[in-house]
Amino acid sequence: MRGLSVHQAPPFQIIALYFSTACVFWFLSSLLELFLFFKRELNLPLPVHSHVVGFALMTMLGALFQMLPVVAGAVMPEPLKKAIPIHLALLLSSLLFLGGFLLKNETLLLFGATLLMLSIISAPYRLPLSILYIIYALTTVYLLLKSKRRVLEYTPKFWLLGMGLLLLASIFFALGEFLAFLVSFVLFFSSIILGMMQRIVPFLVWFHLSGFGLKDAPLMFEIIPPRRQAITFYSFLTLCLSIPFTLISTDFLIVSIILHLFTALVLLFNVLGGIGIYLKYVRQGL
Amino acid sequence: MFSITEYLTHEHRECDELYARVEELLKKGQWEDAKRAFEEFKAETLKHFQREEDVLFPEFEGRTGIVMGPTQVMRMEHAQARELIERMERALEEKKEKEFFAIGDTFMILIQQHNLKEEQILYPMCDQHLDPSEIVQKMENL
Repeated sequence: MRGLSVHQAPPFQIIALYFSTACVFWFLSSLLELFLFFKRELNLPLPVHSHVVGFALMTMLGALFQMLPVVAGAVMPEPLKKAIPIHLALLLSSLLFLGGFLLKNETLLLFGATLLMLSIISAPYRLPLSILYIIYALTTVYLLLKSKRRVLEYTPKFWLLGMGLLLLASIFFALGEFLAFLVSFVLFFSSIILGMMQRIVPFLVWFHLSGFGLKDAPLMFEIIPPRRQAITFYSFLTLCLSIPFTLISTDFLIVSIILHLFTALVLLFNVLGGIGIYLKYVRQGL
Repeated sequence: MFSITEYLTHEHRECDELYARVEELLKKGQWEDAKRAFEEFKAETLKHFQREEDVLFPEFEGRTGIVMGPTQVMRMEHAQARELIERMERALEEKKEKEFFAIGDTFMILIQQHNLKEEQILYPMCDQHLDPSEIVQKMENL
């Protein structure tokens, strides 16, 4: 109940801070891929971990601050005072963790790899877990296709693509193809995050501005227009499609990296653009 | 007899279906039918808000003494929803289909998260603190 109190609603600054950092991380990791590619030192663990730690974990923690009061009714007193140190700690640990990979620090590398392997690869559970994922993905696809609503924005498309990737990941998981599983799984949650982030930011910008009493506050479509969501969707889709080609020749890696870089840049532009609209109205005193 | 949660959650679903009907008619280009369906959706939604604001919220506030808490947030979100309903109505009158769907999209997200908070948190609290059959009857009489 306390989670609904007007004084305890999480401030927009929290989500803005976490999401913009996640976008910057995603963009920087694409630059890092490019750098390592040209140094001929690109290997899978680093991009995977930069996705998981820098992009996914940062987004999820930010979303958690927003969602906890709604879903669990749990309230964090003085959320900014907690969100900022956690953000800094996560940022620092992510940088140290990824630095360990980059500098080939064996202790950190072993720790990360063991943790990852333990958490997702456990042979006796492989088949039932794959079946559960497949059921979840197929049910979600069914519900998405069943929806009668005419939706102009791209979140459902990101979810459909994400579920397709999850299905692929589950199949690779069942077959014990660890590398292929890892890549499809990373792409799966990236797709969901891309859709979710470009939905949450415009909604919260409208919600807060309208809540401040701004008449005719800009709508979600005016904050991140569907055509700009479309650019992230199609460039991300092309990125996914480009990856199998890297198996034919590693020369194709550069194509995937550039597509990642481009998608990350557009995402960063969209999210920062949304935050910018919020700040513009707030600075003008609404 | 219904609990407060059951009664008002059922109304949420009814409003959702009425709104989906408007979008469906607009998709087929049936503007006049869509306007009539919108009137029905608007009337039901505003009636639902009134049941909460005139009966449920004051009863909850009176019993628990929490005045500036969840009910205040819900009233604020009702005001935001009312503004969007007015904007949707204007778009319908002016036959601006794209604008209607754009406003409707924001409206749907607002209302879904609003309903989630009410159904998961506020209504169960009301069932706990108030006499459900008495409150449902009062809301029904409006």
